[in-house]
Amino acid sequence: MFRTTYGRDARWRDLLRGIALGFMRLVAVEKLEEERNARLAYEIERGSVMAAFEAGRDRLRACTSPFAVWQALRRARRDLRAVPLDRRRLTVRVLITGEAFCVMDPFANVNLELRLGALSAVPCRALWQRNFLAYPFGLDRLSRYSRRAAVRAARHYLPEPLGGDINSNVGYALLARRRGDDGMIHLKPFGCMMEFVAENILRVVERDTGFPILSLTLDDLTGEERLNVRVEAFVENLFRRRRERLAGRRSA
Amino acid sequence: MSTRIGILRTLMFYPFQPFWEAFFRHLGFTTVLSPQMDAETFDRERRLFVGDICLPIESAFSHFDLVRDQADVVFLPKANRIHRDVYVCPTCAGLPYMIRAMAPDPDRLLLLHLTPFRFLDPEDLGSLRRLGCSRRAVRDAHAAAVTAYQAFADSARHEPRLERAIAAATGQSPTAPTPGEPAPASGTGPHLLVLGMPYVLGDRFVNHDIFGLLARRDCRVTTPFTVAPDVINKELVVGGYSLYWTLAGTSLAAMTRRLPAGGIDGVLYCSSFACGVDSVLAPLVQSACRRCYHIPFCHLAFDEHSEVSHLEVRVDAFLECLHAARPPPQPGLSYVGGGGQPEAGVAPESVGATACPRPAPTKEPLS
Repeated sequence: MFRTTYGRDARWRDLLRGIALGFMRLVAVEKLEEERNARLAYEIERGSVMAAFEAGRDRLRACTSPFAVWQALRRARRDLRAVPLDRRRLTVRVLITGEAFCVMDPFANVNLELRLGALSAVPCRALWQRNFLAYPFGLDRLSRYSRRAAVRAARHYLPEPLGGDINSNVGYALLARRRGDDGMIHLKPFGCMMEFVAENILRVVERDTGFPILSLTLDDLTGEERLNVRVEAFVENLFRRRRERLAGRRSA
Repeated sequence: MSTRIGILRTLMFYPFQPFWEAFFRHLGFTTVLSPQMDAETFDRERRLFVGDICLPIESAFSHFDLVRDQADVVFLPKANRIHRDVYVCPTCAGLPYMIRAMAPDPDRLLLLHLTPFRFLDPEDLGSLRRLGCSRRAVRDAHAAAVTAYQAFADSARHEPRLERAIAAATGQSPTAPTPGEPAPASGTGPHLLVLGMPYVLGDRFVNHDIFGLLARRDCRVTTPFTVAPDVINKELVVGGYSLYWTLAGTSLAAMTRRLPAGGIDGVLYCSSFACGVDSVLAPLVQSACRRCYHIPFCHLAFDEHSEVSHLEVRVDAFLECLHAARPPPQPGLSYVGGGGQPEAGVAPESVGATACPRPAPTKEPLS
């Protein structure tokens, strides 16, 4: 069976090495993306973080062994950390969640993370591919936004699992509020039945908790300008709330 | 006075209302149905759901608003565990929770897994206990309701309109026929197999009264419930592919059971716009009609736009297509645009139709 599928000269060792390499690359690219997202909002020279990220990603792509991936990741992180940042800048933290493909694919979400970074908002993603792989082994608990914790948090609104990411997306909003995030953007593809349920429950969550949530419906006709206007207005609103909070603290 | 249980006349109402009616009546409750929705009421009522979704779901909150004041408790069916490893669409499953989250008085809601195919959960029994029902009484009521549902499934074989079959089974007054609708069809027109979800075929507001339209065109109609009322009870495997959508099997079973027998001139698939299940199922049925049964197929998608002239144009064009594919009918009779009345002196050839024989259907269509 193994040789029929992979050819007469195939060896188990090569197959396992390929799986390890693929997994390492996936984790490395996602770690690098996470690091990039944390820095985008603070960059002094526009595009410097993205340039360092792209150079590191190209090096990761060229790696042919798990050890080389580890070395390339270390170097890419070092380059990314060397980019000058303005850490005193006022920023807001925005959680991005929703349908997995829309969240993970920059083409589907029209580069939402970069847009947020350009508006001095720090984008945080709740969904990573590595968490999907880790979930069956219970390792998602180690991540910042654990799916299990999210489903537990959403029990008040959704006491039983409804399928897909409905329960967890509602729970991520409650977790993000507890963590002190400033707002959440919920992405759904046009016509998605699961995220329709999540979107409507999230409106109630927003009403009950006062946590700002923006729901965006994406399809192949999503115009960049329309998206820009909505995201800019939302981020501006978050900044206003943040300034009011800071002013309240100072006056107290 | 007994407790009044409000029931929404939408979605799972259509296959399960006779079961629910018998269940609640056996427990000593009175049932109150939300009124039949129409375009005027739908426009007037609140629509709290945001986003792009099918018409039955969109109208559900209007039904809830209409029945809320007339009932002491509103029953919302939880539908996500009808069969093991078979799932209902996530919007149907999430609907009770969406309504509960938005309702001004969530304490007056009764959320139950209430289907003929499995007994209630301990959580559901707890909800009914708060209304004064013992476990024994619930068990007896469930058994009685299952019997009533089986009787309904048998009687539904003779009535293509699900809403009328339900009205007959539950002792309500049936909905009035549309003005100008001949009843029953005289049988001179084409014989159509009309497929779709029960809540699309059953709700004349959702399907824009497609059965009235077909009756006025003098069509004979067969629906999934007249072919195989028991299929909703079974997990269906077609061509080695297991369908894990609860109501999807109904249409496919009707197709695989009815079309090989012959006598069907065309298949009309009725779906709601933005229905994810139908977006998979309709191409599957279309492919089977084209490749295996060689039968014309038409897909109609309904939404809240109440203008029906485009629907009439499409149905007329489809009937014209069937007219071309059928052997010539008796001279002086035409079923296209005639409102059920024969058009004297109009031969089929006068509209450019030519009879073309259909190939015989394949014996083993999808296996």
